[in-house]
Amino acid sequence: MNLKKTILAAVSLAALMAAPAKAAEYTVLVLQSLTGPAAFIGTGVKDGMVLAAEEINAKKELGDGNSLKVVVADDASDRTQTLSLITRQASDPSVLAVLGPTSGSVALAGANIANELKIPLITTTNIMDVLKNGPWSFILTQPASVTIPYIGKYTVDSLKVKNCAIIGLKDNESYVTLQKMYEDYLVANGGKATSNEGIKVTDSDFSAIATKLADSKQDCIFVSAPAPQAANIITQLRQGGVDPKTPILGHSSLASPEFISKGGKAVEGVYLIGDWLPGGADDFGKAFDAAFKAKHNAPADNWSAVGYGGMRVIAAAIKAAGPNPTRDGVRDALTKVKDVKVVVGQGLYSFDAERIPRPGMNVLMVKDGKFVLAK
Amino acid sequence: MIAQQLINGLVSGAVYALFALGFTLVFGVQKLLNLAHGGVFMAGAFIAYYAVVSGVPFWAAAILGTLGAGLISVLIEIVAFRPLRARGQAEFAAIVASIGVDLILVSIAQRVSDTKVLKFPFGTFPIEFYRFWGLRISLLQIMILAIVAVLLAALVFYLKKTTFGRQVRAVAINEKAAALLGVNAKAVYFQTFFISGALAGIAGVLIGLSFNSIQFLMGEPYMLRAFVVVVIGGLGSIPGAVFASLMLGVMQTLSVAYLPNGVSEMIIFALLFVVLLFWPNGLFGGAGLSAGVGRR
Repeated sequence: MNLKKTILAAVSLAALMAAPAKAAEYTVLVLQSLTGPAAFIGTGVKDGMVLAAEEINAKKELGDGNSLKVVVADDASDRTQTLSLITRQASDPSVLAVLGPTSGSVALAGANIANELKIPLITTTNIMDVLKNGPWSFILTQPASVTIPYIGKYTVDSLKVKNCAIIGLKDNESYVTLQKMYEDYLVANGGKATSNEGIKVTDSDFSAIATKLADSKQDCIFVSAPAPQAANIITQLRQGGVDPKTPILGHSSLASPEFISKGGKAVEGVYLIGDWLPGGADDFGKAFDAAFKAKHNAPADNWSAVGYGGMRVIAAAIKAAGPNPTRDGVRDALTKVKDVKVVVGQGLYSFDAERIPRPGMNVLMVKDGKFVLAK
Repeated sequence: MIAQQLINGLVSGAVYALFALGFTLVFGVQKLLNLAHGGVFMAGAFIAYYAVVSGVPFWAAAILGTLGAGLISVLIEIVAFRPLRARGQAEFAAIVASIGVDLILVSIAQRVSDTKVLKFPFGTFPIEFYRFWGLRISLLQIMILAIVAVLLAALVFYLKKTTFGRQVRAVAINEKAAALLGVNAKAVYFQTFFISGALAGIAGVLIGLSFNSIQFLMGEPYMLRAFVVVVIGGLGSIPGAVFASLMLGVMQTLSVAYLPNGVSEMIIFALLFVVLLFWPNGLFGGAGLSAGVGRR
């Protein structure tokens, strides 16, 4: 009798082991600014992330039967709401990671609580302090120290100019840092800033600066301001008589459709850097653009492309964490993310040893009312 | 370059003058700092912008923006200031009320514009430049200077040469005595607020057109400069406001052109302290009273 029982148990166990593994659903919280001042970033990021998750599930990229479950929530650029949402979702063990919050101090607060609760979190922002909060927090977009050398190198090596006038916001720390990095790059390469024109985000009269630069000698002009204001500055520079042959450059804040719609012909020929080349730089990017258009009836923008990449990065980490992934496993896998295929920068996303993302940047220019790759 | 910068400064100063005239007019007549003036200025630009994008010709949109801002200003007088005046709380409470009204206007504009920076469509006004003696001046700059000169002349004529102007001056000097003489103070306030708002509205339209930027916070920097203008010029003084506006515009432009980055505002506000120290009533304090819109 005992022998019969033993045989039965052994057969049952063998049958159990031979059965296919149960399909798993991996939950990811997409926590972005869907309302509030950063909604113009967060909404696009969320759309890109949701699209990527749908594609990953449809193509069974996480293995047969395994899928991503996306929970979407709004951080509203509000610290209290963000902390409450992360805490609530982290109490559910099936939630493996948080993609968000979107930006600013809310991202820092989110990073702080994620490290306390030991849940992997990738904020959309590029604030380096997020990384200092602990090993559980990551940044999705590249910091200025990574991106500015792309436009600096293009200025010096491709345009062969070194002495540039800089016009930039003086009342925003991030923009001041970007200007300083650009100036440092010029100086390190034997050039200099011929003048530094500080402006405020609420300024709209740039006629005095335009007249000044029209009468000054500089090899190029670097504009560091949000897209609509940068378009306005460049329009007034052109109207003020600045030599049309003087190259005008900017950083990634200019990579917005608003830059072209507000600047029109005045911004033709302006050089800038961007994560996403509208329309897609390769077949993968073009397929994403087509899928996004089909779903949203609008072309993909920079932020939706960034979001699309973010979901692919977390999916790659979940897959790399093996069967029955844990938060620990996902965090470890994130630190080893290498060459995940994305649609931004050079097309391959990796974190370096300091957890700094390195997908690279595109140097773009405005041509015939569109962003194209600069040669 | 200095002559070109002077032209730039005069154009900027001329628009400051339009903005500051309405501000100082209300103060002169009612002894009230209307801090919603920046919101009214922004509303004028918004009305004109949405009229233009709806297909209304620019000249008609500019008139709509001007009249719309005037009516908003009157509405503020009726809803916010008149009840406070009736309770004898016209000064401090009115300042607080005007801050509240400004925040309401700004919030509405933020919601309507989705926080975006707006711009009149390309081709709204012809971009033409004239060159003489090595200088460049645009058709738009000429139009701005002409409009400001005409409006200023019309305002002075209105205040000095018409019955309404005499009534305004009478109420500004002594409201009770004016009322005893049959002057309807409510009507004076009504018209004063309308003129003040209309001047802010046209200033908003001209700024939006000239500097390619219409946004919900556009009134704030102008409000700050209007304070400087009316204090330097003399609270309630029309010639003082015009002089101080032009001076501010030129100083700001020249400091951007010739002085190190960030010095412009230090100079402007240092000048404000100097004026307050040596001429507490402003450079044109006395002249303002003789112009007839300053309270005694």
